[in-house]
Amino acid sequence: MTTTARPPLAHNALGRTASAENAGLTITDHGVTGLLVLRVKPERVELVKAVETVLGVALPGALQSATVDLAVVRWMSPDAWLISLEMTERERIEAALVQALDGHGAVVDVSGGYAHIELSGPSVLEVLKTSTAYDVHPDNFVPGKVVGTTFAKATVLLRALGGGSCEVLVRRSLADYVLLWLDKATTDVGMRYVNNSE
Amino acid sequence: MFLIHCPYCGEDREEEEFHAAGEAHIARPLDPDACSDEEWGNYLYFRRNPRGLHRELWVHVAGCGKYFNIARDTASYQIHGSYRIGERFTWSDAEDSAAP
Ligand SMILES: [Zn+2]
Repeated sequence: MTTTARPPLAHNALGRTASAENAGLTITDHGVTGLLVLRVKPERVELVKAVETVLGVALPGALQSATVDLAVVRWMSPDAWLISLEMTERERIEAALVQALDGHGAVVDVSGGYAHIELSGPSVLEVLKTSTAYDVHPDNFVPGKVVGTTFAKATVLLRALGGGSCEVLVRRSLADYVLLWLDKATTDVGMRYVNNSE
Repeated sequence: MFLIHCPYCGEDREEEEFHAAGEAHIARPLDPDACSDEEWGNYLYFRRNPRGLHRELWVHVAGCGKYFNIARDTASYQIHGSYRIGERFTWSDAEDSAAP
């Protein structure tokens, strides 16, 4: 039997429906993404190599991310990475990573544990400045950079994307709060919510 | 609000991203069963709490989640350095006389 995971923000019923042309902020909800937390000690070079062979990319260093066709790999901590991939790929990759680690690390499937949204539009920078303590100036927060920081009173993982857009990964239980915060933060510029989870 | 350098993220970040976790470098007795009540009590409950130079344990909760140490002046709030678990920190010569 297959069940369809319910996206974290599927129930949201915000009245904010600015049209595409004049929305200062567009929130694209990616719904439930395949997410794996990989933990391995970076000094275990042979294990890191084996993992990199599975992913097809080198594990990124501090505050960096790496993107390949299969997945986006985000640095979380000196010994932890968050990997997003298609839901259909996650079991295969999880099994391959577990095998690569040979018992000396951990792979945890946290799919569905996070809301995966993307912020775009002309007001992204202003909204981020309102919301996070991190220095989001484009000189500092360059595309591909990943930071764990605060977002209003929540804790999030932010990733700078090209064109001034920003990815936000927030724990499912705080996703509603972040959405309501964004709604409040954009009352004067308009917000558009796009469900991209199908 | 002040900035704290996380030695794992390698950046200065807002204090809001961190939690203080008390005095650093408190060694757990190697053989707790052989401790006197006084030794065990001192380990569990007693802290130096100095006015001035102090070494503290902090955790980057909103960031990398790692614990690390900060050498800080509790009177001026000046942070003299932050360093990873397992590393040593020495005060500069001028400060050495006041250091623990
Ligand atoms: Zn950190």
